Amino acid sequence: MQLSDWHQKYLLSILEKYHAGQASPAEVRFVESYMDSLDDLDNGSDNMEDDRELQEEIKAKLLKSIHQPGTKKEMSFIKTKVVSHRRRLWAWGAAAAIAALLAGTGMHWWMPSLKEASPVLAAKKDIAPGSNGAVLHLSDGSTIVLDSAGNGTVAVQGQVKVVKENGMIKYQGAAKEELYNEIVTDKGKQWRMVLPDGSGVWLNAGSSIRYPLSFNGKERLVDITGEVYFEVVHNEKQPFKVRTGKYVIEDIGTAFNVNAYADEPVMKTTLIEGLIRINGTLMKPGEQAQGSAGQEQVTVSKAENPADAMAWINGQLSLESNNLQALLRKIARWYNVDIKVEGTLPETGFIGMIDRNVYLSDVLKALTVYGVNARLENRTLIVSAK
Amino acid sequence: MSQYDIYTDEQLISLLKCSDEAAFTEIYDRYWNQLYRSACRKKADKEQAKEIVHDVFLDIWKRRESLTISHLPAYLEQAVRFRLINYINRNKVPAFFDLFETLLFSPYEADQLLKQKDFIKLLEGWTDVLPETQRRIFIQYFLKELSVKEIAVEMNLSTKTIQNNLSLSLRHLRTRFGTLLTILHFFI
Repeated sequence: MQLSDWHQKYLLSILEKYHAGQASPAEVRFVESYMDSLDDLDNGSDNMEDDRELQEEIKAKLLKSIHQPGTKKEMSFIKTKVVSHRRRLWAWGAAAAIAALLAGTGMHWWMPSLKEASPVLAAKKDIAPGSNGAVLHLSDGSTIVLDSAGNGTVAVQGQVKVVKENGMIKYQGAAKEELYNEIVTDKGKQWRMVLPDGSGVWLNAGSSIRYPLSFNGKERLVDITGEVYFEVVHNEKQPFKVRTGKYVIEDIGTAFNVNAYADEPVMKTTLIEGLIRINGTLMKPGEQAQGSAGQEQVTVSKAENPADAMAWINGQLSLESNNLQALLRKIARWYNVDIKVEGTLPETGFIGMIDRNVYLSDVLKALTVYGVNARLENRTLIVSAK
Repeated sequence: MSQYDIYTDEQLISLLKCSDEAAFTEIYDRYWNQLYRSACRKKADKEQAKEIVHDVFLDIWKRRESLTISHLPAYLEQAVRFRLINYINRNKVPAFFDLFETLLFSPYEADQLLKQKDFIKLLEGWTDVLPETQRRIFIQYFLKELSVKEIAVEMNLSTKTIQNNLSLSLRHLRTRFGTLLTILHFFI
């Protein structure tokens, strides 16, 4: 039996996300157990010939690379990297009609790389995409910058250890006292972690989550700002609750995304799997709750495209609801730039996804296709109609 | 130079940070073989394995000043995995997918191949990452594979032999996949 294209592509996409540090906890678990299995499985390659010779061969090459940086091998590697980075530009720049045709099939297609040199940005002025990183605020008021912290124990609070591993943190031990920690991501940063109860949490750029070191009470209550995706470990006896502003989302066994940025006009909670209740209203998978700023009341309806809410988890920027302004706010948060709009911008014709691992110049190039020009001055992006 | 072999990993890392090339060579001598084997076990061919070992060590040299390593062997193993995945993404190493293929299409065989713990972890892990519809299809397919006829063909054994073993192995698989079966019953 042959591995189907779908399976192979799917496995590759998981590996790619793992490599980029953007895999979900379930995906990380899968990749690691797959590798572990390969390790345990094989005994065949253990009868190796010429160990000594091989050792010296690689060593000689290695020492050469060290003493002559920029050797041919290294150069070729760098080149491949650049090429693949260009190729990964998702095709959201093509005609909306074709995109609409493909929408719903879950397909993307490649856009041939734009040939004309971008007048928008000189290479050195380019801005790299956001990366993993966050600041941990401990109960005693001290802070730890997690991106630069090494692996292993980063903090001890009473009986509880905070351990960093594979670019995320988790808690070991239980606290009797009511102590709180908070994780904050700046613009241009994202972070994933496992809460003390085992629930997985992803923080998008410019977000925060506050939680106790141990969930001892009747419920597991966390406070968030910005955009956070949850994969909650269900426990009927101790319901999980997310509070943001006037909204309380109660989990009934679930994966869901909450987008509650202060600069977004509407709070959006999208249910991916399971059941949740938001301010008392029950939601089913694929539904989205929206609430206008400051309003307690929410409207629940079928999400136009639930994949939009998940795009950032999958390393993409989505052009949800044809909304250029919303996309610009996402760009501002992820690339850590300010946005200034000159004149009136086109309103429609935006559809698709773009990989958010690419440099800002690639995003801007794609925008030009829709008749939007952008130029960078320091860290301000000046956007105008073409 | 030979005195470097008495240094602990931690001491070698400190020396490496000061660009001590002998410390670097000692780290290489200590771990190259482990890394090479690790890459081979994950189905890199010899040339790829050599390149991966080379690149991992070159990388720790280049970043020696900013390195934070708490446990060197674990760090290096992780580095091999990252390089390897990078390799697979670029070159699609077909052998890497072999185990995956076995898992999907001959779970019985995979079960014989892997340690019990690994097998369960892998299957559960895969169902965990699948989108909902695909998960249902997979679970159905997975159990269909266990039909007498298919196992017989798969393992080149007579139906009779399989049947003799079936009650035992099915019971044994059932206890392992309690959760999967529950989900399946829901859809049947």
